[in-house]
Amino acid sequence: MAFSSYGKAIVFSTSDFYGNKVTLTEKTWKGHVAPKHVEMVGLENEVERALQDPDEILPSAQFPDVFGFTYYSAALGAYVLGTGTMPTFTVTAAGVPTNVAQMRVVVQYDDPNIALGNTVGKVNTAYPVTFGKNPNFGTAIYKKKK
Amino acid sequence: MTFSYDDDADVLYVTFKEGARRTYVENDQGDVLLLDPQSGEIVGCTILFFLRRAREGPINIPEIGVVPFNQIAGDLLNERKHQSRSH
Repeated sequence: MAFSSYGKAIVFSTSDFYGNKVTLTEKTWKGHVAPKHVEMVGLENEVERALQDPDEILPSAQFPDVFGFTYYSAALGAYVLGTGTMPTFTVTAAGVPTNVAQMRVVVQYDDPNIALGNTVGKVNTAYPVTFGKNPNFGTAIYKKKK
Repeated sequence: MTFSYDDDADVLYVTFKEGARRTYVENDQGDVLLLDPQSGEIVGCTILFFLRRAREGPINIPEIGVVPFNQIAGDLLNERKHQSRSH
């Protein structure tokens, strides 16, 4: 298994919804997320937007310092569904959910008290999510008013 | 089966089958399963906080059967030790 060598270059460093500084490294994005979660290619700006203006923020069910930022992305919807509009939830005959147009951005922070806005975090991964499925995460600590 | 480990993020990406279109489903253990939407076959798996979890106990992902995760975790930890010694 080879370790990639992107050094310390970053894709972005931004303030999340609470004002914490969150960084996405090139190593994580170009070396892993984009090649392995190909639906995310070209959506770096959407990932940044997900951190700044998420639809919801969910605490990890496993680790107190980890949070999932959920974001409805029209760009992702356009890619995955060919429409860019919010779909209704369906499954295939094989029982696989198919309608995925939200993204989940997983962030690990130095301090779990993220609502204070004075910690730092890094993006661990990002991927499209299926509606109605989020067993990895607990009850939302923030939900955007529609 | 191929593996790709992001040591900055502690995420292990497992690929069983390359494919253009996948559906992502989160399982109860905190992993992300990549499924072929037509067949339902699992074509990949993204394991978050891989070594952090491996240190707490054996990693077992029932949906994908027998994969030597503990061996992989051991190899990664040895690789890290080797790298830190050489720096």
